[in-house]
Amino acid sequence: MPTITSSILPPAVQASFDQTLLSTPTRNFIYNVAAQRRKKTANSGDVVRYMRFNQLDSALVPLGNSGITPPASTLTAIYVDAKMSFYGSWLAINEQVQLQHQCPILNQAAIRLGVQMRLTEDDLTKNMLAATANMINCTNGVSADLPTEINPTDLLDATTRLQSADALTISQMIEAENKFGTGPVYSAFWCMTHTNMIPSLTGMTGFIPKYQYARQENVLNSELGAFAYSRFLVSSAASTTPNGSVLNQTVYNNIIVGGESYGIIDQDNYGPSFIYLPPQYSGPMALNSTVAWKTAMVPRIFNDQWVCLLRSTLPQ
Amino acid sequence: MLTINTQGSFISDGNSRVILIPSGYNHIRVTNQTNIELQTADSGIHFEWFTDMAPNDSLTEYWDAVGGVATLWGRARATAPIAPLTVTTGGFSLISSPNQTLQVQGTVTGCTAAANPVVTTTAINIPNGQYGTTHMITNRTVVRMTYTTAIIGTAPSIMGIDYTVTVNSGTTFTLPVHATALPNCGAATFSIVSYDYNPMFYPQNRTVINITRAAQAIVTTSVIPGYTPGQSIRMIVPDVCGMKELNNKIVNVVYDFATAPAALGLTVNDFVIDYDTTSFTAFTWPLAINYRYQVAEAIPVGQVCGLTPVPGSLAYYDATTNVGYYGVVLSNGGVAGDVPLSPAGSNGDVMRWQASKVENL
Repeated sequence: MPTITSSILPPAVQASFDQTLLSTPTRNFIYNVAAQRRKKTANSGDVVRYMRFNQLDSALVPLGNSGITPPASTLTAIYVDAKMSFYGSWLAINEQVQLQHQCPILNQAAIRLGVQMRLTEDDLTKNMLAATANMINCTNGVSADLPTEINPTDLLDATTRLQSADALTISQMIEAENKFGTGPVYSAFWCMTHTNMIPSLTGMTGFIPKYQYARQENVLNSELGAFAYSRFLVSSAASTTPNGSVLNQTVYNNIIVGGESYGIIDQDNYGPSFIYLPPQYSGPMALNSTVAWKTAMVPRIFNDQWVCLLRSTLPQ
Repeated sequence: MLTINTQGSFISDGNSRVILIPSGYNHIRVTNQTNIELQTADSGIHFEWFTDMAPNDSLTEYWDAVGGVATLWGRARATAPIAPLTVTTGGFSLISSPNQTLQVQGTVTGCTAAANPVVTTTAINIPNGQYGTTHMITNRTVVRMTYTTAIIGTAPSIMGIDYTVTVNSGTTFTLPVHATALPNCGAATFSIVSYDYNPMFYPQNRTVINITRAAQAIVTTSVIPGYTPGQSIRMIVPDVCGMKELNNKIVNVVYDFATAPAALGLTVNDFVIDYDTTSFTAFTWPLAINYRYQVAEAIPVGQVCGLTPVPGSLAYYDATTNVGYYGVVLSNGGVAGDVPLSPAGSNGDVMRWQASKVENL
């Protein structure tokens, strides 16, 4: 008796579609984690102006008993402006795609557009910080390149520069607790860096991985760990300068920020919006629907001395 | 499916020109109206480029002889170029601010010993086997040089720094003037940096290569600064650069190149600050002996305009503005003699352009 195999009798349809979609690679969005979120009021132009008063010098001379009025102090300020920009993107989907495709295309389009908007926000802040932050080259590594690979001395130089400018730390100190394998962490600035820097950072003497923090409540997914006064957030698309070193290597821009050092400003009455237009809007044949997002925002450094861009290469 | 057209015109100043095309494009065509009327031999009249062509390429129609007897078509970067297209000819390049990748790399064979070194290069072989005769750099292009071996050469302090350069010939260009005479350099690599020419955010920080000692100091940056009068800049001057008295000081821009009196002799890389540096230590640029140095910087920080903003002021000197765009660079080729065959035109030429794209709607 012949055995009926699938070679003799193949299935009518040889493929099925799994409705559980595969993961789309999505990087960590790290550049706005430490940003102040501010709003620009509507109907007031396209530029928002911030003002920072400069400190008054201490008054060290005693008044004495003469009754004479000493010289007055002078109050000065710096103005920081930011100009709003509008952003958006869209895609068009033909009705036949929606009709024939096995997965809900519109739902996926909405999800991808939402991620695209946050990606845009992250990239804008990254580019702004890289364009206007104060730079230091790592010079204390062992490589012959300039900048060298990252080194504890360079990191401490960078955070000392922030501390010397009275920058505020962002995360509070984590006290030591009676837990095995954990230790205390300084109150720290945040350093936003590239995933390629992970081996260099974790190899530094004194680096504390995040799993060794005594408390885990405020640890972020993108966080790598801490060294001295810095806690590190990593992204696969962090700021780099290709062929930027003396020896033609990629330079990694490790951006260290203090509290209230920069922000992202949203436009009041123009928050992020998702726009769906059904096919009826595309023409007499109602062939294509569109989905879109739009928003208005601008990233801005509020105090240049509280942001430091530490340039490094990878070990050679 | 629709073809969307955008068009415009300009009067050429003989330099490379950027045309903004926010909608994007697949094809662009430039017509030199002046050359059509003059009918000068070997002068270009139509230039076309599709975005899948190599940078600085062009399909060019030009007068074959005086009097408009006939026209010929040629390709700027053809594998076997036909005269007169064997000379460097300006072409088109896509420009998109978000695209922050370096453009083609080339080889530096050496540079002269000077405060403003003259760099000699070999020609770039561009993709797709097309023909290249020069470094493909035009005036005011931003160039980054690096050493390619693990040996630090005699002039490391010009490596890894972005410079706005002046083109001398198809294989040489000059860097701006440093505070210190530099030794000659050996073999290196250069890259054309598109995104400093076209920054996403204005204003940007800049590397400072010279500061004069004067009642109002002149600051020279390696790349055209782009700062405007009234803007406040923080000067970062590391010890290796001398003039430590200016370190960390906030200064205000008095003049940029466009507004400065001619007597000051500013170049496009200079700006004047309201700070008296007469008695300060001289500014120096690091040399090989200082290797592994920091460099001096100018950082835009805001504007100091007293407690009361100027009433009705619209001059937001320090507005951090995203100036990113989509567009096209019409390159003049950078070498005298080839300008008539450039889509950027010669000085005074009336140029008309039309860009188109196909939209699936």
